[in-house]
Amino acid sequence: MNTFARRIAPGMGLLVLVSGSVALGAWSPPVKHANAGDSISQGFGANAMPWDHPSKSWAQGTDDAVFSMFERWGWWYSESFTQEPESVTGAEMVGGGDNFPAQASRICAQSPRPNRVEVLLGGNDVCNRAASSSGDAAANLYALDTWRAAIDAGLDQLSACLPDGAVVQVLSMPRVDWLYEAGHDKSWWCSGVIWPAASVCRVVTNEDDPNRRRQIGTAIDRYNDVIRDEIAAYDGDTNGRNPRKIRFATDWKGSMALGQSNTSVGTYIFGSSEINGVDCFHPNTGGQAKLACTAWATHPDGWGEVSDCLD
Amino acid sequence: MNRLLAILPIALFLSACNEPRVAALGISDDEFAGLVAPVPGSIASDYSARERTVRLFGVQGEPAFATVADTTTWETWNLRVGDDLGRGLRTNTVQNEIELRDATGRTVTVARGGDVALRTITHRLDESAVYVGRATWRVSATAMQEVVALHGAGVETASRLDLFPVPATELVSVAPDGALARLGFRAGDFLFELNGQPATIDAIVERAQTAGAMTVTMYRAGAPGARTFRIE
Repeated sequence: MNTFARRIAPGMGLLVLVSGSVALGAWSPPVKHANAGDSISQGFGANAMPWDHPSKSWAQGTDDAVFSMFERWGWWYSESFTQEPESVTGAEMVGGGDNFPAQASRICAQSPRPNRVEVLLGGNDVCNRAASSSGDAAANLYALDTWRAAIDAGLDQLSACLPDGAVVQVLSMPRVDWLYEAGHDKSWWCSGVIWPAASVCRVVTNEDDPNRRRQIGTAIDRYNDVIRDEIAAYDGDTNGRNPRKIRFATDWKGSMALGQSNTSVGTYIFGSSEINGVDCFHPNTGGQAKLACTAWATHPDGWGEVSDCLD
Repeated sequence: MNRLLAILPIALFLSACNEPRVAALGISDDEFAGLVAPVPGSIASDYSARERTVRLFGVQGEPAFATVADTTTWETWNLRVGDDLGRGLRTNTVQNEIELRDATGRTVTVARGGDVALRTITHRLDESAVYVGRATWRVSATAMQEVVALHGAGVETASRLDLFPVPATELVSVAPDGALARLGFRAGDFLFELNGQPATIDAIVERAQTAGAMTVTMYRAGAPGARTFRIE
């Protein structure tokens, strides 16, 4: 697409959004982005070396091959658009010192505060838990109440601190049982050498029973359901915790079991060509580009069809 | 890119300013008597206490563990029966609520739906390296010198040339009181570089005892990437 054509679309999109926002009174032009996330948002391993590559991140990246959310806002809305990412490799939604509430607290401490916030967390909440020896492979994962409490602790802070007209998007998390299959298909090196030697997500990579891996995946669907429920409660202020009407959005529309294949990050089955060869569990540049495209297509500022992103 | 480079120093400065710190307080004779995990030979002045407000996020797992958050820093702990919260409290029961108890039998109950104030107690060497978020540790050079003198590095290693595109040193075992454990390293970590040079245990231990900064790149399942140590 040439520069002229790329610049026409944003104007049209902006016009639609601004005209819509006049009625809603709850939208402001994108000025600054911050994010809460983990190694996926840090672009870990995206170019085949075993460390972070934030330039290749779906959220904060500057590599045109990814066309990140940061670049899209800068391209379509404002050349002076800026960002101050807070994602940390290793972070969980719930646990540790870099969890979602902690990262939300850091976002609120920024000056100036951002008016666009992207959130993608959860993989480590699953992969860091001990395998269960009971009939339920997901028995040692965080309970839904725990998951919800952590999300609320983060959203409470963002709803209170972000400027009027801000938009927060919380993406659904990918299913690690499908990442297992992508890595398994990629190479014997992944499943036979790297995963056991480097202890990569052993809750699924050390689980031989596909039905038990599905139990983990189904638990992730339930986590994503909670994200959708909490986002709806905050966005509509039906829980009374967002009186300033900060906008909250998510990509999750429901699980594949409910017919929602390829409608969100959480219902996309990554292919073996979309994960890296370092730990065979993180998206490479192509996988990051799909995340960015999906996030944009489901963001109130964006446009496009998720199915086009994930074909 | 220039814009990013311009923002970086400001962001680092602000992040250092915004780092939540909870003031350390002295402990009473009663608290010293109630320590559940005292360091042999220590005295009351070796310990400090911090006032915290904690929230029970939830209970789950087999066996059950409770997830408790500090509402200032939002750091969480997963506590099972028998686990210690600092050196002053031990987890006594984990059900719909949790009960923490000190060595004299005093208890604190943390229930769902409300925040609870409590004091956590640490030994001074427990704070030789403190995680402050963003994959960053604040290290006391003098405390680390004492740790090294008492316990050494506390690791067994193996050279691995076969797993990653760069050479790695695998930490095969990590002793809990040694310098590497205090710096947050664990068995199973793969170390790549220290400040851009191939990482060695001797270099990490030496660097951690002198004011300045070091960055270690490493692989850990679930938490790969660089660790930054600010040595004061």
